Amino acid sequence: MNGKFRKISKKDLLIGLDRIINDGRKLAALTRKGEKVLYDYVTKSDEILMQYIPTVLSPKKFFLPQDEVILEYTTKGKVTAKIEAESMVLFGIKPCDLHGIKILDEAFAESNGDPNYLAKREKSLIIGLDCSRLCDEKAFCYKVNAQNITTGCDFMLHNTGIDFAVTVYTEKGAEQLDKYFQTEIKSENILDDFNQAKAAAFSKFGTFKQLKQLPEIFENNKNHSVWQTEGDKCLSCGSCILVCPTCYCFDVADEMALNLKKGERIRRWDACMLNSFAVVAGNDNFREEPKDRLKHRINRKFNYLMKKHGESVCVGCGRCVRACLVNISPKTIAETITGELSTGG
Amino acid sequence: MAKPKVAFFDFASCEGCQLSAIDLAPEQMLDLLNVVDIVEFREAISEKAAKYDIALIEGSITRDCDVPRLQDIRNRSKVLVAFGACAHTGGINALKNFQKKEDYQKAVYPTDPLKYETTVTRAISEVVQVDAFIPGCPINTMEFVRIVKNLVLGKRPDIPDYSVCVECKKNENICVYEKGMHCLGPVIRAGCDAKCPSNGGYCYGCRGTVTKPNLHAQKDVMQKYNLTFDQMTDQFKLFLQRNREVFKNAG
Amino acid sequence: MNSNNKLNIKPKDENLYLPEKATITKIKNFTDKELFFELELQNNKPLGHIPGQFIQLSILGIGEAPISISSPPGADNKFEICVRAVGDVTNKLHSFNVGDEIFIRGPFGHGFDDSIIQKMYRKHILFIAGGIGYVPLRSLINKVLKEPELYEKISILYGCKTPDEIMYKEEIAEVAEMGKNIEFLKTVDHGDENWTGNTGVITTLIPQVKFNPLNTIAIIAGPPVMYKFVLISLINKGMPKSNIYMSLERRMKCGVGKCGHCKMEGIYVCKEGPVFNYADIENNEEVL
Ligand SMILES: Cc1cc2nc3c(=O)[nH]c(=O)nc-3n(C[C@H](O)[C@H](O)[C@H](O)COP(=O)(O)OP(=O)(O)OC[C@H]3O[C@@H](n4cnc5c(N)ncnc54)[C@H](O)[C@@H]3O)c2cc1C
Ligand code: SF4
Ligand code: SF4
Ligand code: SF4
Ligand code: SF4
Ligand code: FES
Repeated sequence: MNGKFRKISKKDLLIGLDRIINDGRKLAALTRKGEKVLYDYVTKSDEILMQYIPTVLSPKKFFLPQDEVILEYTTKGKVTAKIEAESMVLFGIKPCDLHGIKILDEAFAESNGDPNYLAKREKSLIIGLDCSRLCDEKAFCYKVNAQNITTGCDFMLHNTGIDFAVTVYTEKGAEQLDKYFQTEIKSENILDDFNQAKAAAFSKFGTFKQLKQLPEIFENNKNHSVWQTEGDKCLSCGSCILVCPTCYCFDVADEMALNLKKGERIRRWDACMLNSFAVVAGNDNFREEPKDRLKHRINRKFNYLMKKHGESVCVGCGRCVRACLVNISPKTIAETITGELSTGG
Repeated sequence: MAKPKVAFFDFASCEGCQLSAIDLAPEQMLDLLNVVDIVEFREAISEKAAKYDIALIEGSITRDCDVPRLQDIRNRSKVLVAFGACAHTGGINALKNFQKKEDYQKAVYPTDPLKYETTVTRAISEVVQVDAFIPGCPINTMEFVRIVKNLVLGKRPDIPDYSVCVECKKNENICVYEKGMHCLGPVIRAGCDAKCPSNGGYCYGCRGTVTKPNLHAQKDVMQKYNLTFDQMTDQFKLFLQRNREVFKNAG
Repeated sequence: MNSNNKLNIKPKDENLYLPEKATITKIKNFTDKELFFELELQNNKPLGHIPGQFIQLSILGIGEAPISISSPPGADNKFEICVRAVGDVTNKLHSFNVGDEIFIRGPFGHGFDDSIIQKMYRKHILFIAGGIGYVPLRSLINKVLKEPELYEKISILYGCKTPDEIMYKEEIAEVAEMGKNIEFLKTVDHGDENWTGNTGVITTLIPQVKFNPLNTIAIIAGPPVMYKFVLISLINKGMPKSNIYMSLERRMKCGVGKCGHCKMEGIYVCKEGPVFNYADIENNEEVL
């Protein structure tokens, strides 16, 4: 932006975040709760962890909660749509998760927009926090180029050590940045150092060699032996799906109150790795074996949805790898299918 | 529409599940009683009420004389529900099945072992047809309420058929395997909101397995996390004696 | 600012999960398990569907189920469905009476749109319906029967397990009598003492129809096992895959391409289907 660079001091950042809270807006950020580290609402900026520790769940839960009431009704036949959307700020979201949010935005905005997701999303401000190095050995964002973003948040902070450089992505971001945060305008490129350090930290990692061709390669490998061998190991526990920032399948169920006078329609996270996911009348199961379900899940990431979104739908956050007790990993599967693994790439 | 008549019956059990069922807030209790007629506990015990719409059976079958009593209840009930782990899987009572009959008879009545009439412990579904299951040791009160509602509304009394890990992840727990413990969660039926792993414990399988557990994989996981075969079957033991698949496949 | 940021995440005015009220205006007993319902939308607007589309039928407190619209498009606010009682929603619906209210969302899905109908003109139309598969095809069948002169010939093949399972009996009898370029063939897997017609699975009817495979459009719906065998016999007769349309069924929760339950590989049956041209999905391993 016309040679001008913005920076914000650590102190001013915390002051700004507290202003957001004092303004009565909800602020969610990385925080500690007992033994857990997770994204959750905080009441003061000093509860926020600036150093990223991978979380079990991704920030998608703020837009697509685990359980969400979508309708309320009475037995007399009065039905109302329920949308709980509050003005909210999400702070400290990492590049992989920002890619995840972008993919969910596209999926939920498509044709018939999902009213609940979009309402929550519209009322949110997303502040990214860039990574200067890989968060752990399970993460593989670099394989799909998800460590860098071009969209997905309103503004992004880059930790330069003493200060944070700011990149603004949206008008809303620019406006809210000015509203809450004291920033300084610099003429020299304060991002350079950060970018160089980041590039150095990631230099030893490369993308999948045939990243762009993955859909085609997966399409041609529906009968690869990896599906059987990895599928046999699979517990069908569903953990990989629940933790994934880009999985969004859900189940819908009606629940009456105990007085049977009113009720709710609820949608809940569901998981295509579970045996019951594709069962239809007559107990026909369209994906009977774990290998069929695994093939479906991984093809959604690197084939079916990759075609639609124009980028890998696995963002390499590594959550499923951390969660899987039997070490099934999209990275290993992709490397096996592309032949990278055996050639030592 | 007359309110469905609901009765509780108990066989070998601690009656903890019955207590869990009525562990409702007063207004919820009133709502429940507006929806169903709970036949007085005493009436149920003396078995005076002729027919029941919903019979909730707590406990497992451990004596020959239990069988005709259970069959009689079955004949007089429209819907029969196995209520709690003892009824659903045999529960803790089935632990004795791992021992010889003489041994546990002696253990209970050292002076007069034969006084104790006993058979292999069985789950309710091994003796009569069961229409619905409410698993758990103890049962989950909200699940009990939901099943009763479903039956009253004419919906299938479905319970989740996916792993405890699903609920555990939804709660954002750190997996207990990362904390050096072992857990049966991946093969056990959810519905308890992953109560044990969410509260410092691990899942020991009180709700029984999902329909298609991958027991080979579960065994590999346990071994990978340094649990010997004996220790592992011991973990499966507590609630899964009647699930022969578990021992066949684990062995 | 980045141009990629143009994605519109503004919620739409209409809530696609909010159902509308409809009243049951007629119920007919078809078979032991299937009932016919005529429904009237309370907003007084026509449903605005095309043949092959479906609705999400809700019963509050019970749930939702995808149900095909079995009447042809009409100008009034009434439409028809036929429902087999198999589970929560469908059993409950069977306990309802004329005057009772239900809720619907829709119409949803890709049906027999204009481009397909155009392709059918002057062709021999071969409908192949197994069991409840007659229901999703009936909307199109009745539309076609309204103007039979637009088509070279219309053959309707209908197979059921037993004679008791045959639906729309009176209507079918009338169609069979229409003559002209219309033929109607029935078969049952197992006949009873009163049954004098064909016995055998539906594929046994195919050789009884004279058709030029290149000038015939086949339209298929039925239970999952049926498709494979019907496809084999049609293709063996030399019919091009692009002349075959099928209406498919999957588990559905949302009906609008979000929940993921209906997926066949990358295809959302609720949105891109339930009507498909076979040539478009022949390589999809999850179809059959
Ligand atoms: C596009 C489309 C059009 C359709 N058109 C019609 C139509 O016109 N008429 C018609 O009668 N039907 C139609 N169907 C089928 C109908 O939608 C299903 O029968 C529907 O699911 C019934 O809903 P339900 O609530 O009554 O049954 P459910 O209670 O959902 O049960 C349906 C069946 O699925 C099984 N099932 C459900 N959930 C599970 C689970 N978790 N695990 C194992 N089994 C399970 C049940 O055992 C039962 O047999 C159509 C389906 C589709 C996709
Ligand atoms: S987490 Fe692993 S074991 Fe569980 S369903 Fe996913 S791939 Fe299978
Ligand atoms: S598939 Fe695994 S690594 Fe990829 S985005 Fe999902 S959770 Fe992250
Ligand atoms: S603690 Fe147990 S239930 Fe939770 S994720 Fe780990 S294995 Fe599954
Ligand atoms: S976590 Fe396992 S042991 Fe604990 S209540 Fe649930 S099913 Fe029972
Ligand atoms: S039914 Fe939900 S995506 Fe098709």
